[in-house]
Amino acid sequence: MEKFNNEYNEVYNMYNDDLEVLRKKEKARFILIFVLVLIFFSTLIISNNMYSISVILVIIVLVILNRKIIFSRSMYYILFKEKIIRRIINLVNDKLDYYPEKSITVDLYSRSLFSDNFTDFFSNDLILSKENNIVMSDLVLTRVEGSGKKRRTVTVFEGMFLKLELDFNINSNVRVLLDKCMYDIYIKEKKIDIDSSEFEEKFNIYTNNRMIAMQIFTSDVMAEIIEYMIKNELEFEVSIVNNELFIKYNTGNMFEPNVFKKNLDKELLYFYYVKLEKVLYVSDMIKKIVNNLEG
Amino acid sequence: MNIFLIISILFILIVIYVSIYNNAIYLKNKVEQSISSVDVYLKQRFNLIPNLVECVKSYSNYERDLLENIVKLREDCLNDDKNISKNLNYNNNLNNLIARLESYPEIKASGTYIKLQQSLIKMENQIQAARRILNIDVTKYNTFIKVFPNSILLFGFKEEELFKINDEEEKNNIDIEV
Repeated sequence: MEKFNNEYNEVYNMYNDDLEVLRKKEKARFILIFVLVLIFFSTLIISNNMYSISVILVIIVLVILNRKIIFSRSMYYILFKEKIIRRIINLVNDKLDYYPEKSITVDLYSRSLFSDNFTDFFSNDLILSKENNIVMSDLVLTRVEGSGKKRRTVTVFEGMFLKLELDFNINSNVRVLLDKCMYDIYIKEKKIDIDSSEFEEKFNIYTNNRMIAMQIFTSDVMAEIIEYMIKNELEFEVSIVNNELFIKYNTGNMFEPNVFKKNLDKELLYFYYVKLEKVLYVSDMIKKIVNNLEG
Repeated sequence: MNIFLIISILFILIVIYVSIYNNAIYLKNKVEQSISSVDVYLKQRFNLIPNLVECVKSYSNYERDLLENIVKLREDCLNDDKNISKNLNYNNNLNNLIARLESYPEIKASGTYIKLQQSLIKMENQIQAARRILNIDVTKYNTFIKVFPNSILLFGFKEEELFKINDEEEKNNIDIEV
């Protein structure tokens, strides 16, 4: 906490004033867009042609006059991520490289074989570590359900996704997924029975190699995972595919500023700092467990 | 109409019985497969014995009886039928012999011995995993044949034993340091 506090104070002194100005501009932009949208929808309610035409004309004029505010890339987000989030990430581990606008690809995610059923994929806040061969990013998966009037978008996953390379190849797939019955439909491999009722309550293990799965997930390992998950309130799922380890963490949206709250919200930044620390700790723990197989 | 109804009910009952019977056979076969896996992994340890002999032969200070014991152990195991409890017994004797090597510092420091230790650790993990799989399969099978109405329909099926450590000697863990 002390380390974080020192860093926060430094960052606050350096960037708070500039960020506050940008935050207010961003807030104004939100409100302007919201008002324009409201006015536009009012034309749909009030069935008067003259009114509708006048309103649309006014909207067009307002948009042209405020085009810089509406369509420009928000400097607030850029500065927040480049200056603040980058420092938070380096505070956790100074070997991590952060690219706020870059993302992982759908192909990389598909390699993990997590078998989510999604229609839309959005990723940003890419974090790389050459030393540990880590590729990590913020990820949102959504799915469109229903049709016509009942059509809606459901968030399938929102959190951090991480890929690590193992020191050797297990030549198998092992997936440890949270206990949700919907997975059984999408997964080819059978769910295996395990000898820990506590672990089974939370997770299901799917694999094409039962021996490897049981060697990795011993009683001690399962107990440690459950204990860590409960103590730190961090849900995650694991997929080991040959020599690659993939982990999905249900952290929610990470590294985004809140325009309508106070600038440089300390609680929010501390939340990001702690979550990232825990994410890296769990990744390291699971990597060591799998690497121990080789002896 | 009544005959048709009776035949239908009989047919459904037969289908249910066949389904339960087949599931029991499937689970029993799984148990036997798991027993076989444990046996295979236990026997694999005995493939390490030539490596043990190499460790001991290279050094002039070795006990003749130690080397003879190692060779005899391997012969006994290879000649014996598939029997988990006997293999476990041999396994423990092997552990004891390996532990005796700890008292020879020159052997302990050798590259061959270090590689042997690493192989042993790997094999122990495999044996542990195989044992756990066996116990899970046995529990599943025993539960299936004991629940109602399976316990009535599957009267010919006997419970399998879980993998337990029976001997006091076997319970004593041998602490092998690398």
